[in-house]
This record gives sequence, structure tokens and C-alpha cells, in this order.
Amino acid sequence: MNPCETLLQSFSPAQKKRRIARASRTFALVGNPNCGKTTLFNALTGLRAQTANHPGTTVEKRVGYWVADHETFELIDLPGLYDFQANTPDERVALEVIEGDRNAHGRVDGVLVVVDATHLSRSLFLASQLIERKLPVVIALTMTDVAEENGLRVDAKQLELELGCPVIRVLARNNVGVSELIESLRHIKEPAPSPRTIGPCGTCGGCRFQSRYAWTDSVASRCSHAPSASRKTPTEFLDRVLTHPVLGMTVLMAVMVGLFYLIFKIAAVPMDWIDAMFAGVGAWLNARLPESEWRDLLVQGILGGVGGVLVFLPQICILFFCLTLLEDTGYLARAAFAMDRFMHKAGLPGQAFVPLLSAHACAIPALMATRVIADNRDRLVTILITPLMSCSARIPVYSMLAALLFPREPAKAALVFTGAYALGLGIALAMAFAFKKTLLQGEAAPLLMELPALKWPSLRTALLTVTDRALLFARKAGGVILLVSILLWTLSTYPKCEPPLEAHALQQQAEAAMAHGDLAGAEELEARANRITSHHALAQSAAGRLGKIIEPGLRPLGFDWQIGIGILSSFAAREVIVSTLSVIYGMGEEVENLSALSDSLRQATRPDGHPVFTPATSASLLVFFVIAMQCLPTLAVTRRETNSWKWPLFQLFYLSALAYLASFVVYNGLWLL
Amino acid sequence: MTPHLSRLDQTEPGLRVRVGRLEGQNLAVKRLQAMGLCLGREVEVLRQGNPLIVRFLNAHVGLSKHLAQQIFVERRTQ
Repeated sequence: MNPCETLLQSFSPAQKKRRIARASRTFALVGNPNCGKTTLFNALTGLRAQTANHPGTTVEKRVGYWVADHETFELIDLPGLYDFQANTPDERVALEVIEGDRNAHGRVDGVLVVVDATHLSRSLFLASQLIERKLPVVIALTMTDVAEENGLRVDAKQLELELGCPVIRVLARNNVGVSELIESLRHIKEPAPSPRTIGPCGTCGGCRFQSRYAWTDSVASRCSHAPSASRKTPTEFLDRVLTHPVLGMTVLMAVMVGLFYLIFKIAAVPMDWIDAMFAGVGAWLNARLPESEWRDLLVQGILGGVGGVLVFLPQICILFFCLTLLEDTGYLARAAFAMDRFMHKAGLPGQAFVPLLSAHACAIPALMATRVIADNRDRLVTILITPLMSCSARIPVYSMLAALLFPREPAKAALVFTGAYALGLGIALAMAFAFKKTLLQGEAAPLLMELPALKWPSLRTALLTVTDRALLFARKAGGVILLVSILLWTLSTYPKCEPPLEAHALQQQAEAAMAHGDLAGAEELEARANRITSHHALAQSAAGRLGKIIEPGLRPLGFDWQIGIGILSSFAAREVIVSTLSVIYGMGEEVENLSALSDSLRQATRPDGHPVFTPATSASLLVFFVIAMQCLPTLAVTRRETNSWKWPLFQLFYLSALAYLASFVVYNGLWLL
Repeated sequence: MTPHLSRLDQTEPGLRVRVGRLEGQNLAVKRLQAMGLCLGREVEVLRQGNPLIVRFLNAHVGLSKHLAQQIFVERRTQ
């Protein structure tokens, strides 16, 4: 295995596949989308589950287990399906898992099919295809409470007779029927040959759907007692509002504002805690350990690098918590519906809206969320433009540059901030349009999605999803980000050099001041000496030399070699440039507040005496950070999601070229003014 | 007497109609049929526009106008 593969594997715990326990029996969980499958899966397996990609594909499946009477049961949660014909990647994976394949699993011991009482005929369309394959099947009949509220009663005993396999009524949320279900799975066997199931309809070609549905309709009508007149459900009014062209968009805007408020305002509190915790641990280690290079590596390289990424954990948790709740209520489907007409103009499907929204927190969960897009080309275009959304790692950079451009003018600075977000979004939509006209030609696939009945969300599902995603993110910080942090620290530390004479002189002055009892003066002098030393060390380091090598290429954008180092170092995580610039321009490691930093940056001058951060340079750097692809983890996830190196490399190339061009235009345009 | 077929995207909301013909064999049409909108199915348009919302088999489904143009329905005359 080559190092890149190892790197990627450490990055996708999915592939690493820790064997959770030796399962004595393996079952697949199959059902329509929104049939209560996830709730049932969580009720059966709880926290003992892992999300994994099916080998060689990007189709996600969750594997969980439980132990009953010293027997371990493994359950594979497959994507929601309507049909079983290997027409889509999801269907192919489901077939492979159930029939057994050479990659991962042997043939499963049985299938747990979820049949939704409110959509009986449609659920049976899927279930009957499994029963016909002579697979051992147990049916979990869900949503009977919702059905009864609507006056619909489903007769489980009659259904059992019609299908020839056990049917267990389950209300997973209240734990009704779960133990009966487990008991039934223990004694699972092939379905009884039932003369009433229809034969395979290979003879009538195009009418496969019609003939099977004719049968499921008749079974459904024999097994359920429908209300005489269809009653209006209480959510119908709400649904009309949410899907209304104008009102729906208004609600969507309000929801988005609320979500952003939670991500950026509320998350700030735990983010400060995490920051303080890492700073505290760093200070503690500095005080306890003897001074050595290993200590510097541990505190500055590892702790600083990993801490700088883990600080985004609260935002990611809040994002996934809210998105899972919204999805569970059925709202996200309506939001995608409302957005479809706008997204379509840029050649994107309505479903692309959720990933693009998530990308404002972090591109990585957003790339994973592109899996909801069924059409491959649509999904690729969405993946390609996702990094253009301003993720939260760019916030510190935007804040710094906005303060540089408009010091003490918060209103204008806020405008710069908003402008940066709008610029990213605008370019993203333009690029999507361009890709759809050239590289990945074709209209967005036509919208076709079920709008599931609106309901109260399950807190348990949301909390389990958050735990799952948070662990995935934390493992990533421990893997690839750890490596990059160590690499960057090494590059900016070695080769080492002696402190310059100037620093030496200042140090001596400080000692003299100390001898005269001028404590404050001594501290001031010593701080200056330290700043000069660290600046000098960086300039002499491998990173500094690299910065000087690329300087000629960056000069047309108004950047010098020191900004070049900042850009290089920001490949680990974008916000790293803030701490790098503060080291370079002599603030020392600690950035106490951004306005102090921007004051010091404003005073920074080039050797010829001109200020470094002119408005043109600052604006150019801002535009560069809006567009450029400066995130190794994102590239690694793109590679995983597209299963090829071609797309991440293309992404890196087109975004870098675009960033260079835009910065060039901005810098030279402003310079002329 | 042959029933008069009209396109689903031209059906007034609230009217219950029956699927008489499906045009094209693309993936979306297959998926639509797997969801239950096959020949003979009773369907009602809840909201016209692009995309539009239809109801069949007790489910609400959003679909783009382009797709609705491939579905031909007959009105029940009696």
C-alpha cells in the first residue's frame, strides 16, 4: 500500500473497518425511504454502529450489532429503496449485500424488511421482490400509530398469511415490538411457498410495475381497513405554506438565518472553551516539560495544529443536529423542492441545496451530503463548486482582512464580510453553469422526490447522528491533519539558525534594564528580541526559503514572500494564515485580538519603506482566500467521494487558476485607481 | 370509445385522474413507476407549477414539469 493510500485510509475510518464483534448472524435492513428504517435501526443497535462506504462505491451503509442470549446479531442498514433492479448505485449495493459478494460479506442470513403501514402497497412492491427470491424475510410493520390516527387499520395477521413470512408490528420510538422482532429474527426461515404471491413477471416486459402493483394493491386492500373518506391531515395547511413559491422561500430564508445564527453565534461559546482548553494544556506542558525540540513539536506543531481544527467541532455538531432534525420532520425535502427552480437555472438539482448550505460550516460534511444527489453528473458539479462556499475556517481570515481594509469602520467591514460570502456563492453558481455547458454537459436530472408527511423529529436520531459525525471528524483531526501539522511545523522550524545580532543586542539591553530595576522596560525589550528572533528563524527555515522561491509568482497579486508562507501554511487549514502572519509580522505566537494584529500588519513595511498591506493587497488577498482551494482535507474527501484522483486535481487546478486570475484583476484594478 | 388523454402538467389541481400512458423509458420514469405511479393509478395534482406536487397511493411526490409532460392521464367521465 503506498503512503497516499495509507493517508487516505487513516482518513476514512469506514475502510479501516474495525471488526466490532464476531457476528454470528448477519441481517440486511431494507425499506423505502422515510419508512421509519433509521429509527428502527437505532432502536436495535443504539450506539454500536458505524457508518461505512460499501467497498468500491460511495454508497453509504451503516453496520450495527446487538447481543441477545449470547448471540451476536449484525445488521446492515441499506439505503432507502423503491425497487430492486440494479438500476441505481444504491440498488446495486443492496443486491450485492443481499446476494453476497466477493468484496465484503457473504450472503446474509436474512432480510429485515420495513413495511410502512401508511404506504402499504408501495412497501409491498419492494418486500414481495425479496420474498420471491426465497430469502428468509421478517417484516417489521411500522407507522401503524400514524395510520390509525388517519383512521387506517392494518391487519398484521392477514398480511402474514398473504406473504408467508412473519409480520411484527413495531413502534421503535416507544420500544413496542422490538423484542418480538429480535425473537423472530432468531428463528428466521425461508418464506412459506405461498400460491398467492405473483410469479416473476418477465413475460410482460414493460408492464412489470403495473402487474406487481395490481397484486400489492389487492393485498393492501385485503389487509387494511381504510377510512371511508380521506380526511384532511392537520399538516396539510402547513405543507401548502412550505411548498408555496413565495411563502416557502420566505420560510426557507428564515430557517437559514436561524441556522447561521446557531452556527456562528451560539457555537462561539463552546469554541472558546476548546480554544482555552488547548491553550491551557499547551501552557501546562510548557511549564512541566524540559525545554526541547520535542516539546516545541508537541505544543506548537501537534497541539496547535489539531486544536486549530478541533475548534470547529461545535459548529459541525450544531450543523448536523439541526440538519438531522429538519430532515426528520420532512422539511428538508420541501426546502429542496422550493429551491429546485432556482438551482435548475444554474444546472443544479434542488437537492444540491443541502450540501451547499452545509458547506458554510465546513466543506467536508458538505461533500458527504452530496450523496443525496442521484445523478452522477449533477453530483460531480456540486462537489466541484462546494469549496467556493465560505466555510467557517475563512471567518478569522475575513475578519482580519476586513479590519485591515476598513479599520474602525465596522459597518464597512461587515459589508466586506458579506461581500466575500456573496462573491463565493456567485462564482460557485457561475461555475456550475459553465461546467454544465462544457465539461459535464446536460440539464440537471428532473426533480423526483417524495415529500414525506410532516412530523415531530426524533431527538434520539439527531443525537446519534451527531455522535457519529463528530467521531468521524475527530478521527480525521487525529489522522491527516495531525500529519500535516507536524510537516508544517518541521518546515517552518528547520533548518535552525542563530538569533540575529540585533536580537542579541536587545537581549543585552534587557538584562541591563533588569539590573537597573526597570522591570517593564526589560520585558518590553525582551519581547522585541523574541519577535525579531522568531521572524528571523522563519525567514531562514525551509518554509521561508520556499516563500522566497514562489515570491516572483505572487508579486503580480501584490503579495510578498511572507504572505507566500502564510498561503502555503494555510493548506493545513485556512485560518492558520492568521497565526502565521502574526509570527511573521512580529506579534509573536499569541494573537490577543484581531484589531491588535491588524494594527501591527498595517504598520508592516517592505524593505523599500512602502506599507505591505495596502488596500489593493488586502483586497487581493481577500479575493484569493474566497476562491482558492487551500484545504488538503477537502481534496482528500473529494478523492474519496469521486473514487478518482482526476477530480480533486482538477478542483485544485481550476480553483487555483481562478483565484490567481481574480486576485490579479483586483490588485491591478485597485492599483490603477 | 377511446378515452381522451391529457398531460399531467395540464391537469387542474384537485381533479382525480388516472394514468393512461407513460412516455419514455428513462430512469426517472422507471423510478416514478416503482414509487407506484404506474398505468391505471389514480393521481391528483396538489400544486401546479414547476416543480409540481402530485398525490398518489397516499404519498406526496414533487416532480419537475419536464417529467410531468411524459405522463398522460385520462379524466373519469362518469
